[in-house]
Amino acid sequence: MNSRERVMTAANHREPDRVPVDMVLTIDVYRDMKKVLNMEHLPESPRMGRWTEVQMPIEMIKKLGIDMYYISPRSGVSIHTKSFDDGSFIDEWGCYWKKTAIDGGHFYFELVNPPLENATIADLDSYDWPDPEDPKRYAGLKEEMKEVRETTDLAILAKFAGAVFELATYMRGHERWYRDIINNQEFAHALMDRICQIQKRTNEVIMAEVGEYVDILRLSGEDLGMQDRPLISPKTFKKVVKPHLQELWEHAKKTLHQYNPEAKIMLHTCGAVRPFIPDLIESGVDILDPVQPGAKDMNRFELKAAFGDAIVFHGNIDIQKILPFGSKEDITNEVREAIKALAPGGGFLLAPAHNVQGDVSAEKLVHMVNCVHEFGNYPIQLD
Amino acid sequence: MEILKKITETLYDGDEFAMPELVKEAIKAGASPQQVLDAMMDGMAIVGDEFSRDELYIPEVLCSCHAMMEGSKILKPLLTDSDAKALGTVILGSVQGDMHDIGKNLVGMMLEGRGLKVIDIGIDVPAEKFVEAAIKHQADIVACSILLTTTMPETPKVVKAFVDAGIRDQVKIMIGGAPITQEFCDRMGCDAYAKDAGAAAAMAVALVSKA
Repeated sequence: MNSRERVMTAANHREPDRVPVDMVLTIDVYRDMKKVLNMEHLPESPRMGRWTEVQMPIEMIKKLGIDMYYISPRSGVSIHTKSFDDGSFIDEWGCYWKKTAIDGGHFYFELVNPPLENATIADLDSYDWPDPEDPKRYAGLKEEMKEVRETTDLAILAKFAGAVFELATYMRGHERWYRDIINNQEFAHALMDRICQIQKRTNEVIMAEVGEYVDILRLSGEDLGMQDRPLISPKTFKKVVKPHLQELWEHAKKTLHQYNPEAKIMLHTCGAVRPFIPDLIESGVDILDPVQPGAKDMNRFELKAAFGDAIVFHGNIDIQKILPFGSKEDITNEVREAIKALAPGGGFLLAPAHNVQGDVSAEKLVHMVNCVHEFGNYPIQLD
Repeated sequence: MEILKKITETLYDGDEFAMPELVKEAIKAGASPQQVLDAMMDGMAIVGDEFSRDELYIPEVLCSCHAMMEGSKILKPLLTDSDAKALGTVILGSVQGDMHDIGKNLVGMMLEGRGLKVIDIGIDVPAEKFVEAAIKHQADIVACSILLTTTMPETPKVVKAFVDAGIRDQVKIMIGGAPITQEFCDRMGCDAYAKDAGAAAAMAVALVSKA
């Protein structure tokens, strides 16, 4: 079974030959990985994204023994887009990403100065919104994806479908936005609807270009959970937020299926999100990422029992404690437990529960993959 | 007084738009500024407790905090100096490299809601700035917000900065944030850990009451 078959078999709730595995590396851990795998000839920072994640070269994917090629859209350009000397930038929506140094010589981009913090509904009409037809967003994608499809057997995960709720949070600022969804719902609906329509059209444009190469379409981050509870109440989610997300997700899936009827939809939503899972299933989400262990009510055995027939789990290897601070033995146990809980019957794609940050050594990640190759073979036989 | 009860309820409901009028109404009806403040703080105490028991969510809590802020704006000019005496002073900030402020702001508003004076020194705060602010404001507590595994190593630097300045025994150092645990707090030699904003407010009140 090749990687793509393995991924798609698991994504269809059937048992492949072994549990599929993948990961996204941020820039520091990528550089460490080059050293550990003796691949110093690879580029320094291949297409670094907003979260400092890099495009892992095919050669590294193969040597590491993982199953998925991730691809992000290129940046769109608008009246807002701007780069600063310190590495900070403003994106096409007008959100300012400040380059911020963190301990040990690392850095990250953090959101500051939300552009719509003081906006009214009327201001939404005069705002310069990104152009969904902007061809810069998909420049070169088709060639790249065609090459991956033709020269490898990797599954292709496209991080193309944009966010609504989370983007509204960026544009409005967290505090203001969370108050809007309670005390200013008319504005909240207007903003989410505006964003949703742009994202829908953007998806149509990109899918027409590359949809045939997409195995998994990753809906962009709609983080709905905190560590110890959902970010918003299930009641507010259903009443205020869900209608907009459902509109986007159903449309994204329908659009994608015009070009690849077998493809799956993945939603990234961090944290304690258990109360929302039935809503996600109802809205057509096939795969849930990252199934954050350690967040409240996210016990892997209970999730599999409750929702394993209806949704596929992606991620689940702890990145808050085990990967950065645990020993190799801790990682072995974590991988074993995740496989034991989630892999039976298929429906599990194993990965670190987020883009891997600079506080995790590449050696540990190699060990994680080796564990999957060792314990992840079907039929699963772990006690 | 019926109106004071209504203020407590409105604070709990987080209606930031209704609060200023209610406060004015209460004063007009003869309530003292301190009584009105107490009524709002009663509401905030319930919000903090329920949040700690996982019964409330961030958006609702934020609305309550903003209702408190809106009410306080009306009240402030009316409070006498003795009314306005704080339980204690807290220096609050997100540690260096951490640009996250929602958790910090929430803690700040909750602390104020429980009667503490809060000096918010912002995000991305180097260890020595915590020390400077603590000295300048004669703080009782220094509260550090740490949201990332990658900014956790800032914690010992903050503790060390207070040791180096010779004032470690004069302030209590509190830490909180998603990756923080009691075990980490103990290991770093901090004085208190709070799992959320409600718990942080209760903890801070307990710390200054003990002192």
